[in-house]
Amino acid sequence: MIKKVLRGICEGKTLAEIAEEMDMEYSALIAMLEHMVKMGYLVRGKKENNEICSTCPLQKVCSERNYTVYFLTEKGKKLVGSC
Amino acid sequence: MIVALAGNPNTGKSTIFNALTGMKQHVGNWPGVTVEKKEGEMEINGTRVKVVDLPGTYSLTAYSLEEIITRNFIIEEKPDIIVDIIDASNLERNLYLLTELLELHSKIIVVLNMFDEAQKKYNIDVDLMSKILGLPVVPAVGIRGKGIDELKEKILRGKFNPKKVEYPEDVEKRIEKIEEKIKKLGLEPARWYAIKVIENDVEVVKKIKDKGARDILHLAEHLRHEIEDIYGDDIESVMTSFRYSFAHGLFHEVAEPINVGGVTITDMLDHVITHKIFGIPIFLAIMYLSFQFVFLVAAPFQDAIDLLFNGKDAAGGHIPGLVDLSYNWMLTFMPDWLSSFINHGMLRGLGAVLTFTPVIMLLFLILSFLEDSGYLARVAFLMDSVMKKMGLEGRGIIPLMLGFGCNVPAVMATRTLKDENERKLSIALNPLIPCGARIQVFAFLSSIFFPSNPALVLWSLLILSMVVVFFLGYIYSKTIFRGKSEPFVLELPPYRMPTMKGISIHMWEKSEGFLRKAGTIIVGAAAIIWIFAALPWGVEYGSPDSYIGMFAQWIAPIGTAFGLTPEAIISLIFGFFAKEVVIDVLYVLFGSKDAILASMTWAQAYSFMLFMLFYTPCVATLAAVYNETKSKKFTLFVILEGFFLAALFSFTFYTIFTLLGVGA
Ligand SMILES: Nc1nc2c(ncn2[C@@H]2O[C@H](COP(=O)(O)OP(=O)(O)O)[C@@H](O)[C@H]2O)c(=O)[nH]1
Repeated sequence: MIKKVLRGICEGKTLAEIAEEMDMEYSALIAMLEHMVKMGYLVRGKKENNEICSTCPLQKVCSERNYTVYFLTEKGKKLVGSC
Repeated sequence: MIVALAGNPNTGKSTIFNALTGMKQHVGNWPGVTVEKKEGEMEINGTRVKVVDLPGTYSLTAYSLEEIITRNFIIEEKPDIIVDIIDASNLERNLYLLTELLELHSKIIVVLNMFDEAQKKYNIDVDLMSKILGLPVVPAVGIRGKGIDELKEKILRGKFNPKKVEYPEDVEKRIEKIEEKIKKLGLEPARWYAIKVIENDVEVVKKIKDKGARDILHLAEHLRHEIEDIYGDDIESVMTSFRYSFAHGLFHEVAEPINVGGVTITDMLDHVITHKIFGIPIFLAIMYLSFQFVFLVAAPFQDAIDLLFNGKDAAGGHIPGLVDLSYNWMLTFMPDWLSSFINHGMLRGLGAVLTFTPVIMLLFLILSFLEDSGYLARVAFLMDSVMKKMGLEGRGIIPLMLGFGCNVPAVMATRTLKDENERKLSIALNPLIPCGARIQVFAFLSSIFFPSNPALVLWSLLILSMVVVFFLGYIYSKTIFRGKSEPFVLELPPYRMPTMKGISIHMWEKSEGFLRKAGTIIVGAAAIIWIFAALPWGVEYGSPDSYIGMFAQWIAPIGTAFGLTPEAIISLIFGFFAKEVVIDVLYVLFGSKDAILASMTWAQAYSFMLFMLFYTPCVATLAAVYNETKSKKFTLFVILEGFFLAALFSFTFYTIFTLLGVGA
């Protein structure tokens, strides 16, 4: 199942599409992604803040965005083969 | 008797722990670490039971402290019973932990908590689940104390005949081989140790090494490679996948979704909102209506504030506003130039910002609503899929669109993109997306120059910037920044109805930030402009003989081709430091809304806005660009790109409309 999820990401599918395709619950898929992060197949893309940000009047807005980006690691890419 | 509570985070573990133990609790730390340990006591029919609350976890790997604590407690303290608290409304997710627990312990009671919520989603066959697992399964609603008595009953008298998580034959065979050896070593539960040592679990390997059983490690390594060869993947993914399949299968056996296909509101909305064809038109429509709403509602408030500060020219003469009154009052005790500086310079500028407050707040209100509801994240996603449809390789558009608020963090977010070219592509396009501050400035200018339909004007600028980003993105990705796209996936938050409180807080934070900045800068900007407009000593304020007037005459020819008036150019120069200042500058130069309106034809005004849409990003963004790329050349590229687009669009627009003769 792990490989299937990774392949889906490789093919540019959305999480909703992957969940649908695997007939999985969305929340279960997210938990699985987190598990895969721990195992080293994915990394979470963090939003980084630093000083320059504080010069922007909208810094508070951007520090609150509620999304997470997941990227494949080398280990993840190796598992799916071609990506 | 010891009972341990395990479960995912947020499944109602604490709620149930409290229901079981009441006041008899003791909170401490797990030995040697700062993870909270809660223990309590209860009595069931005279039997004293100690209850231990284990940390909330999704799995039992050796990768996190909480997970290690949990599994070590089960292995070492050997509780009599484990109660797995499951959030039944997210059943599949919760079942993975159960599969891991099944390998660790034989007496598990499954509590299907949040059963009230779960029943809205699916029918769960509790008896079937109990039969399949060979374990007691208790539906519960922790917050209402439902199921607690049954749970207590099962703790005393539950029957356990647990099913193993079975792996395929060729794996099972190998697990058994190791299991026998582990048994001889005296480690319990032997099957779990066997599975983990095959999986190369660091903690377990270490433990076996400490026991001096190198032969087991060698054998495990050998068997691991065999399994990896059979399945063609690394061991961890093979074994973990089997467990996920087990959980997945169990879920489908016992839970039947209530609405066909398990379509949630989020799914339904997503089908429409991120629709390949309708998604973009829907987005544009939402933006248009939002802008209309903002201007319509803000207008009366704006007029009132403007009246308060600047007064009004009525038939009977000028009705003085605060600025006039304060100017005259200050004349009584200070020289004319000082009073003029304070009032015509700073107070008027402050008024400008304040008149704009209603628009700022409403616009932020809408943006907060769109963001909190989960919509904006989808727009980012939508843009990405459009780019994909266009065959665009570089998919840096996501961090880019998320920079809708501010370009600076968006530029920094590109750090997550590993491919150099894709990253550059994203950074190069980034400043072309109007940030929140720029949208505010455009809203302001639209409302001044196009009072009859500011929303339409603002909307047209937004569309233009999107088109340019798509188009340029396409060109770049096929030419200078031909990158390899980094595969990624975005977790979109579920839609929810934003709370009034949440939105108000967001709106307030954003508006305050914006106003505070515009307010502080204005003092400096106003002072500088006022000085240049009032000097050399003795000239009429702002006349062609003043420094600013001379500069304007000098710069004027450059602007004519683009329809830029000298004042517009001056405001653009200041806008380089922060786009908000453009508003301030215009106000300080002209004094009133009407005067600003009178200073340009509508074609000039629109040209001016087009120029502003693209010309160089603000200092902070450029600093971020340089910081991220460490390339002066690239930073210069970003500036030139902006100026090129700005010149291109304003020139084309202005020329066409002047030729048509409709600009005046
Ligand atoms: N709808 C519903 N909510 C529950 C139930 N049990 C707990 N909750 C709520 O779920 C949230 C998390 O509960 P908590 O006990 O703190 O979870 P823990 O993190 O697992 O300890 C709280 O807001 C509880 O009020 C339940 O059976 N039904």
